[in-house]
Amino acid sequence: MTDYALNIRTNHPLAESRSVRLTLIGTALFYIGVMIFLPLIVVFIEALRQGMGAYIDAITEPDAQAAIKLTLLTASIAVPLNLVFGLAASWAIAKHDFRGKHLLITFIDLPFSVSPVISGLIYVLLFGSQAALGQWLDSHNIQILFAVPGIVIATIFVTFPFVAREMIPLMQEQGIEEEEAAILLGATGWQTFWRVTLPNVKWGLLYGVLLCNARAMGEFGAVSVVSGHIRGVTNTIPLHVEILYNEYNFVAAFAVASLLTVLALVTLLIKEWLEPRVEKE
Amino acid sequence: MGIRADNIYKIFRDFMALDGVSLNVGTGELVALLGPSGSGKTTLLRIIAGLEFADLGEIYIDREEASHTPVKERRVGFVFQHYALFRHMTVFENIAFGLRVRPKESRPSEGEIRKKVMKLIDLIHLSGLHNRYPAQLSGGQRQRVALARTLAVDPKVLLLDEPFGALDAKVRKELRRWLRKIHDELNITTIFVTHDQEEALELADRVVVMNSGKIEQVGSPEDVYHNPANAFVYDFLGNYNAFDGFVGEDGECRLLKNGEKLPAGTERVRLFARPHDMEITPQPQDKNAIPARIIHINPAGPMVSIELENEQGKLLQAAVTKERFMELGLEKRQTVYLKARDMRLFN
Repeated sequence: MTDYALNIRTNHPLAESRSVRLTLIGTALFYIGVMIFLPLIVVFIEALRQGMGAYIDAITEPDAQAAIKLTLLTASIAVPLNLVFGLAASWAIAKHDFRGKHLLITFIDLPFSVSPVISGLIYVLLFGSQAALGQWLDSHNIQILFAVPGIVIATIFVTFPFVAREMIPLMQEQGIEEEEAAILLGATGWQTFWRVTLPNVKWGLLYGVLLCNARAMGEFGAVSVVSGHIRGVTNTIPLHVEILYNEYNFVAAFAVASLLTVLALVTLLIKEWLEPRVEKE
Repeated sequence: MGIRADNIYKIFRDFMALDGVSLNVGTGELVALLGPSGSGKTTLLRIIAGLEFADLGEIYIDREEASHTPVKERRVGFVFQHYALFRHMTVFENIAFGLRVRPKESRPSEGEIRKKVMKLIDLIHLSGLHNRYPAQLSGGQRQRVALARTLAVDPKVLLLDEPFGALDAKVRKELRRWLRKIHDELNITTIFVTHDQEEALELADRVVVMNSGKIEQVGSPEDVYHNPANAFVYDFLGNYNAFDGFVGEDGECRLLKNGEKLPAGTERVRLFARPHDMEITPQPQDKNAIPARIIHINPAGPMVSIELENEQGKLLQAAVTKERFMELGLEKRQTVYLKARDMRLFN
């Protein structure tokens, strides 16, 4: 394949000489190999070092199961909420004009520009026992920090921009003429949204949800700060991996990590499948 | 159903899009809003449709004040320049849309919808293509689907925003004729926006010439073409030559030739003449003729168009019949003499 790529470009007016091409392609392949393929393979090699039995034990023991369940629970709350919010925000931004539109766009991007650890810390400061809100929640016996609600909230914050960021440019590009046509034909605003706006962006929406989900399941920093690391209770998969690793339980750590790796690979595959469909929209 | 616009003003930030426009369109009329881009014609159309709101003034549709009638209740059919077809729906579903979104009480049955949509597909000559998606149709076909989609909801008036603007010349002509036919059959009050004077003159019963938010002239195509109200309308409706001149003692318009002084007691005026009103001769006919050099000859078309340069290097245009062209034996770089048969003066 490399040969083919080299030959077909030889006659191109912009083609570099053969040695330049070989160096460039070689460097790129080497880089990708060392930085991406090697670690990917290492995860599976390490996970299976003591055989299939140890691998299965590591991912079926109760703490690992609890971490998997918590991760799935967190994603199943955070992703739908961000889906609804992202859709609403992008619809408002792309199809309407209002004061403060640019401010809203900036705020949507905020979680991308803040370090996840800081995001977690914000909630510790907000819900912690030294804050007024934390004290009030405490006196009403509502536990946010070091419990599932805190993990969900931190995950929502971190994954907040994914859907909106994917939808805004797509909706802006599509413009509002189809919506105008629908209204002129007698459709209500609701009908216009469900029959025209939403079907036009469905693949883009799915794409945003996919990325949002991948991040929600893999988030470490923000969740780590608010979780409290209680084994079997407030550990998500990434946190569980860290604990196992710190205990020198490498096989178990890599076994659980391989679950996230598989998630990443599946996400990539779906992404590949989705991309041409989004492009068509 | 008539449409009346009463003293409409519309300002976008610091741009006056409509500057006190009033217009009356009678039932069954086919009216063209003609003007350059930025003249406010599309804004006026969108205000009539309810897609924009006037800052001042009222719109009456069928003698009812409609400024506060929601778009969906105006029963206005609107056709967009870029079709605005629903891209994820088939031709059939696009046309059926307006019927399907009706509330249950007034929604036709599935069978009735089918019958009506198929009839419209026949009307737009797209039989057999009802399962196609917009992306699988040509521009002309798409625009016909857009029109059928609008007609499906029996609009009281039909508004078209540069409907043929995105199509190539041949399809444009064909659709023009076809729109005229549909208008005559359905007798539906129609307003269309265009910047193409030929389209407006050919298609419309009445032409409304607009310029920077104002109406310059309203009249029949014949009227606006032969009796333009001012220099703008004259300019916009065709090519022309402009000359410096004066009005002589006898009331006749005379051209001011290169270096010639303005006779005492007269005022300098601008005189306009269409290319086909220019007369070309190899020798000066009289002292009013101006010398010019031929710089380009285009013999393609019903008339031979000739571009010339006068002594000051100003471009002049003339158009002569093929026979006259042969008779004169004109050639590039030849110096000839020009006279205008018909000149106009605007105050």
